[in-house]
Amino acid sequence: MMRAPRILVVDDEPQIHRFLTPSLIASGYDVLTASTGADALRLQNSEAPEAVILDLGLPDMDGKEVIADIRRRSAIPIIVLSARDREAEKIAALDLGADDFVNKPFGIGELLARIRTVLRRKPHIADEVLPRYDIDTVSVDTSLHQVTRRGEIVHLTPKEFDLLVFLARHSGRVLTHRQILTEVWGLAHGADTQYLRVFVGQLRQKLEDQPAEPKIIVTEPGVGYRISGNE
Amino acid sequence: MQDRLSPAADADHVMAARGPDQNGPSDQDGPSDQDGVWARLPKPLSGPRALAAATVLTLVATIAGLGLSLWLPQHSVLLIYFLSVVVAAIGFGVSTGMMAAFLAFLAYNFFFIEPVYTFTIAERRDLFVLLVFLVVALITGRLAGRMRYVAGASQHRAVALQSLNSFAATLSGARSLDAILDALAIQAVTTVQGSAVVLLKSGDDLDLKASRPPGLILDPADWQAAQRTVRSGENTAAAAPGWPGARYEFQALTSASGTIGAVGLAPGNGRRTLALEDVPVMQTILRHASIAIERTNLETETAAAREETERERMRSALLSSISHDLRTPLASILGAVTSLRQLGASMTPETRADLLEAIEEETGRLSQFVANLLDMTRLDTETIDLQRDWVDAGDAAHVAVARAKRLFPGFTITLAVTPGLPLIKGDATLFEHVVFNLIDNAVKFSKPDQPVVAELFELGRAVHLTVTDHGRGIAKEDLGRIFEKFFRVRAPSLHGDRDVPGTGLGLTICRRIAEAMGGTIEAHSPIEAGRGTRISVRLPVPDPALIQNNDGDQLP
Repeated sequence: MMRAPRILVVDDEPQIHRFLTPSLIASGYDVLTASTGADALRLQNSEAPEAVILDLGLPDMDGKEVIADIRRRSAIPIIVLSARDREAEKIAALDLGADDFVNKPFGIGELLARIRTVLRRKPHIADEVLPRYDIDTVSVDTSLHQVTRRGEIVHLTPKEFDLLVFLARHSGRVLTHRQILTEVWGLAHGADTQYLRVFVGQLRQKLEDQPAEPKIIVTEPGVGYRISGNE
Repeated sequence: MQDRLSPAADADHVMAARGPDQNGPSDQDGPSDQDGVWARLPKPLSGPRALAAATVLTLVATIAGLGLSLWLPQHSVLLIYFLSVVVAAIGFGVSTGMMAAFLAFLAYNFFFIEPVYTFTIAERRDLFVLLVFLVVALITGRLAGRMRYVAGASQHRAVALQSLNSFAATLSGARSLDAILDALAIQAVTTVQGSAVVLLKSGDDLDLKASRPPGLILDPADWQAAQRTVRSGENTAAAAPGWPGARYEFQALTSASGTIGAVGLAPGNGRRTLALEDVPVMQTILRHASIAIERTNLETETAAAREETERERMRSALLSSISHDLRTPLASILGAVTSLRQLGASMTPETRADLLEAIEEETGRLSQFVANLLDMTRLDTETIDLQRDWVDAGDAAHVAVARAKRLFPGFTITLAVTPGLPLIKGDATLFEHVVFNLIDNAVKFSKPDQPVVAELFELGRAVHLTVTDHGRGIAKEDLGRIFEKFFRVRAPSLHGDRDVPGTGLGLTICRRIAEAMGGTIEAHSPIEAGRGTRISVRLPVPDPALIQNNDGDQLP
C-alpha cells in the first residue's frame, strides 16, 4: 500500500493548525507542521513532504524567501495562503515558483481541491511539450499544430496557438501575467498586459462556450490566469 | 519707484497733486533732526498760503530795500529781491518762489522806479532791467524750488524705505494670516495718513479682515468699488467729495494665483487721492504683503498635507490591523466550520469538540476586537464623555476576570481585591474593559503555566489596579511605546506557544480610559529575574467632601 501523501503546513497562527491538521488527516494525508520559515525549510529537507502549504506572513523570515529556498532544491508543489487584497505578494510568490494560492479565509474544500490538483500534476513533465493536451472541450495537438473544439477544427493565429500551448502545459495552475508574457512574447514584454488581455479575449471567443463566463481560461483578478485542469 | 521719485519728476505736477489743503508743516511724518537741513523745511505751499508767504517775503525785502537804498545804488536793491525769491522757493516751494518773483517785480517797479509809487515806468532802460529781473527771478525761483523738491523726495524715499524695511521685518515675523493683514493695514495708514481697510476674497465674497483705525465699517458703495477692484485687478478711485460713491481708493492685492483681495485707502487731511510719491510705496507694500500671505497659505497647506498624511498613515495602520486581526479569527472559524461539515464524519469526537471550541474562542476574540474598535472610535470622536457614575472597581474587575477565564480556559488567572475598597468615579463598563484588556494582554505574553495576577488595592487616596504576568517581559526600548496606537511588541512566535497577534489597540484604550477617569497608567518590566510585566493603573478616589456635596448621602 502506498503511504499517505505527506503535507507540510507552514503558518505562525496556531488557530490555523488547529483545524488544518485534523482536516488533512481526515482527508487521508500525513501532516507536518511548522510555524517558522526555518522549521519549514528543515522539515522540507528532512521529511520530504509531497506538498507545502505556506502562509507568507512568518515571524522569522519572509515567506517568499522560503519559496525561493525550496525552489533551489525541489520542484515540490507549493500552495500559498494569502490575504485577498495582497495581489503583489501573491504575484511575487507565483513568480518565485509557487504553484497556486488560496485566499484567506478559505473553506477546507477549496484548499483540498487545490491540494489534489497540484499532487496529481507531475511537476517535471510541465516543462516538456507533450504531443497532445485536453482541456475541457478543447484538444491541442502540438505535433499536427491543430486545435479542435468538440472535434471541430478551430483556426488560431500562431501567437494564439503559442499562448494556448503554454497555458495547456500548465493546466490546473495559476500563471501570472508576467510568466505568460515573458514565455510567449519574450522577456522584453513582461509588462505588456494589454497584449495578453487581447489574445486571451480572442482565445475565449474561439474556444469557450460562453466567452463572457469563461471556464477554460479563468481570470484571477490582479494576479493572472488559472487554466482549468482535468478534475 | 526709482524713476517716479527721480529729479525728472515734474515738480509742478507734484504740487498740483498735493491738493489745496496740503498746507503747513506736517507733524505726522515730520522728519527727525538727523535727517539734515532739507528735512526741516516745511511742506511746499500753494494757493493763498503761498501768496501770503510770498507777500510777506516781498514786504520784508521792500522794507530792507528802502532802508538800504539810502546807502547803496538803487539797482542793488534788486539783489535783495532776488534773495527773497530764493528764500521763498527754497523755503516754501516753486509756487511761492514764482509768486515772490512776480511780487518783487511789482514792488520794485512801484517803490523804486521813477515815477515811484506808480506802476508806470518812465525810462526805457528801467523797463529792460525790470524785465530781465523778472525772467531771472522766475528761473531762479523755479530752480531753487525744484532743488528743494529733489531733496524732499529723497528724504521721503529714505523715510519710506525705512518704513518698508520695518514692515518687511514685521511680515517675516508674522505667523498668521490675520497678523499679516493687520500689519498691512497699519503700514498702509502710516503711508497714506488716514484710514485703511484690508479685504480678502473668500469664495465669491469679500471679507473685511483688518482696518486702521480698527472697527471701520464699509458702505455699500465701498463694497461695490472693492468688488470691482478684485474682479478687474485694477485700482478703483474714490469718489470726489460730495459725490456718491466709495470713500476709499481700492488697490488690488494680487498673488501668483491672481487677485486675492483689496486694500482700501482714504488719505487723511481731506485728500481724495494718494500723494504721487506714495503710489510706488503702496505698490511695494502690497507686493510684500502678497508674498507674506502666499507664504502663510503655503505653510497652512503644508501643515494640512502633513496632517492628512498622518491621518492616512493611521487609517492604513488601522486597516492593516483590522484586516489581520479580523482575518485570522475568521479564517479559523471558516476553516473549522467547513472542516466539521465536510470531514466531521471521519473525525474523532475529541477533534470535533476541539474544533467547536476553537470556533467559540475565535468568535469571542472577534467580538472583543470589535468592542475594542468601538471603544476606540468612541474615545476618538467624542470629547470623552464618560458616564460619571460611582464604580465599585472590585465588582467590575470580577466581571472582567470571569470573562477572561471563560475565554482563556487554559490559563491561571487570579484576582485579589482588598476589602473595603473606596468607590471611584467613572464608567463601570469601560473600567471592566481596562481590566479585561490588561488580562488579555498578559495572557498573550504568557504560557499556560505562568499565572496572570490581577490586584486591586488602595494607596494614597487612589485605587490601584495591577495586572502582572510572568511571561518574557517587554524590551526596554518598547516599554515607552506600548501605549501607542497600533504598536505591537515584535515577539518571536515559538512553535506551541499560544502567541496571539494583538490588535495594538488594547493598551491604548486602557490608557485613554484611565486618563479619562482622571488616572494614570504605566508599565514595568521586567518584574523579577528578567521576566514578567506589570501594568499599573492608578485611579484617584474623589474627596469625601465632594461625595457628600454632590450626592447628599454619606458614603463609606
